[in-house]
Order: sequence, then C-alpha cells, then structure tokens
Amino acid sequence: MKDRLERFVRDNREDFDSYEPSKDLWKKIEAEVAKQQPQGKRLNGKVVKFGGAKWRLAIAAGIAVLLTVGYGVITYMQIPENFTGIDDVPPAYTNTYGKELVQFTSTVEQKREELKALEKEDPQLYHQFDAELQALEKSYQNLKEALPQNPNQEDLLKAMVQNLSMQIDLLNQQLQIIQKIKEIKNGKTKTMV
Amino acid sequence: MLCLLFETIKQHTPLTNTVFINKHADLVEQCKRGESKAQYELYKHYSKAMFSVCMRILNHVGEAEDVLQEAFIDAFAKIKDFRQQSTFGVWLKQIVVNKAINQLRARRVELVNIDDYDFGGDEYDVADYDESESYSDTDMKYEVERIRRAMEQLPEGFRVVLSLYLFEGYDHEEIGNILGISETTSRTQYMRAKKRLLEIVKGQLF
Repeated sequence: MKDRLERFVRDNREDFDSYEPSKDLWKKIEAEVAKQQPQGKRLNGKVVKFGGAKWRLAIAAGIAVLLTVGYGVITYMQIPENFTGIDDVPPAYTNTYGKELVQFTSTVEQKREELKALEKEDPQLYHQFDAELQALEKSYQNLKEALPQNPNQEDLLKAMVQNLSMQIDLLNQQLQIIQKIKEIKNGKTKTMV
Repeated sequence: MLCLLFETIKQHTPLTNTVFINKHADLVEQCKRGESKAQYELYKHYSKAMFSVCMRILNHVGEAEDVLQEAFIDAFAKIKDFRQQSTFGVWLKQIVVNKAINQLRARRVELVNIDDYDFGGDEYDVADYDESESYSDTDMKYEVERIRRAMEQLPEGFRVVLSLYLFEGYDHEEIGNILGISETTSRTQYMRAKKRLLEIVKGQLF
C-alpha cells in the first residue's frame, strides 16, 4: 500500500540527496586517516603498518634483542680457551683450521643456547630439532676422534669445518622457524593492509 | 537483526549501474592498500548521498559533518573487512546510519509524544491527501525541494522515523529496534509524521 508521497520519494530518491558537506571536510578526513596509518611504508605494493599502539611491541622487541645480544656477548666471553678442543688440532694446522673451528664451535654453542629457550615452550619441537643436531654432532665427534690417526689430516679438518657450518645452517633455519611460529602466535607484529 | 537491516538497505538502495559497481570494486581494492587517491574518489562519489542521510536524520549541519567525517574514517579503517558482498555504498550507508543514530542518542532524543499532537483523527487517510493533484516534470524539482524543506521543519521524533522509513528503507520492526520503541509506535509515529509533513508542504509558500 504505497501512497503518493512514498511513490514520489521512491521515484525521485536521488534528487533528495542534495545536501552537500563543506569543501574542507575531506581535508579533515584525509588528515585523520593519515594519522591512523602514518608509518605506513610501501612494500611490494602493500602497506606495512607499524605504528600507533604497535610501538609498545616494537620497544619490547628492541629490549628483547638487546638482552639476547648482551647475553650472547657475556657467554662468549666466558668461553674457556680450550673449549673447542683446539689442542686436538695438529700444530701445523692451528693457524688455519684451528681458528675457524674455534669460531664455528662457539657460534654453534651460542645458537644452541638460543634454541634451548624453546625447550620449555615447545618440548616436542625442541627434541625434534635437537635430534637433528645430535646427528651432525655425532659425526663431528667421529671426525674429531679419527683426526690424530688419520694420514690425511687436512681433508679431515675440512670435513670438520664443513660439519660445523652445516650445524650453524641448521640452527639458523630452526631459529627462523621458531621466530615464524612466535610471530604467528603473537598475531600481528606486522600488519599487511 | 543486523542482517535484516542490511538486507533492507540493500533492497532500497538504488544501484546506479554495473559499470560503477565494477569501478568501485577496483577503488575499494586500492583503498585496502591504503591509496589515498582511491579514498578521495570514493569520498567524492558518496559524500553527497551520505551527507544527505546524515542531514535528514540529524537536521544539523555541524553534527551531520562530524558524523560523516567519523563514518568515512571508520570505513577506511575497516575497509579490510569489507568483502565486496554488497556494494560499497550499501556497506558505507550502514555505517553512516548507525553513527547518525548514535549521535541522536548522544543528544538524548525524545520521541514526540503523539498525544501532544492533535491533527484531526486517524480516520483521515494520509494516502488520499493531495491525491487529486498531479505534478508535471518541471514541477518535480520544485516539489522535491518543498518536501526537503518540510522535512527540516518536522519535530525530531517525526523526522527520524520518517527519514528511516521513507528514505533509508528500514521497516517498522527495524526502526523500533534502532530507536528502542515498539513497532506499533514506529508505525503510528510514521503516519503522524507523514501527515504533518504534507501539512507543512501544503502550507509552504516559496
């Protein structure tokens, strides 16, 4: 039961929308919208938003990084000289492979410490990661034991260095995975708009 | 209830044409990437219609502009959630109407007590009012203007119900829910409002 007025309004609906907001209203809206995403950066055509309330998160993350680095430095300084079993390296190779071995072993130790943090949070994943590392570690120990008797010590040392760098690669990947999982759990440290 | 609202608005919103809709889908995608040019394009296209919605409900330029501003800011902030299941206009209008109604609430709107208005009994059917007159096309714009001005002169309670029913396409059940009144009150209020509107229109001299 449409009456005359209802029909008239329906038929001329758009003509009724004749009020106009003031010209500078858009400027206010634009400014307000810009304020809400001021730190937006273009990245592959997407806007990576990292602003507003997320600053707290950023600061927290910064502190966490500082603590980790600080802890790493302290642990590094506490590493005893003979820690890597550098004594086991034949004197002829101390300068060449010895240094590399020391450096790599301490890197491996540091990263394993980082990984240990996972043990409490996700024991299952930690043991999985640890098992992978144990395999490499075991073959490293085998190489090390074989070293004194082996006629071709240089090849063996190369293999040891290679083994350590594989351990570092593996650890890096594992840490990356942990980082990703954390990001997902924490929700949006980065927000794709 | 929101779903109902949504459906009703959808039915009553004039869809301009398909080209526009497709064009706006692109604009919406650009907005989701935070492109301010696309935001301006959408604003340019919808500001007039949405401002008119605000004006009819609020009848106050300052408040209507505030609500419009808030609604657009809100819409751009939430545009990620807009899945293009309806047109952008329908989605935006929902935000605008909600904000305008909230603004009214903040103003502590009190519906006009119908008993205070005596317009001469219910037996007088509004539908018959003016039915004999007919407007030519040239009179049409003039007539729109007359109704528009008469709306501005209506008491608030009348204007809001009339605006939501006649212009924004809500039914009385929805209006009742929005304004916290019964469906019957909304219906009566609407009839009274319409009658009053036509009286003002008739009495107007431009």
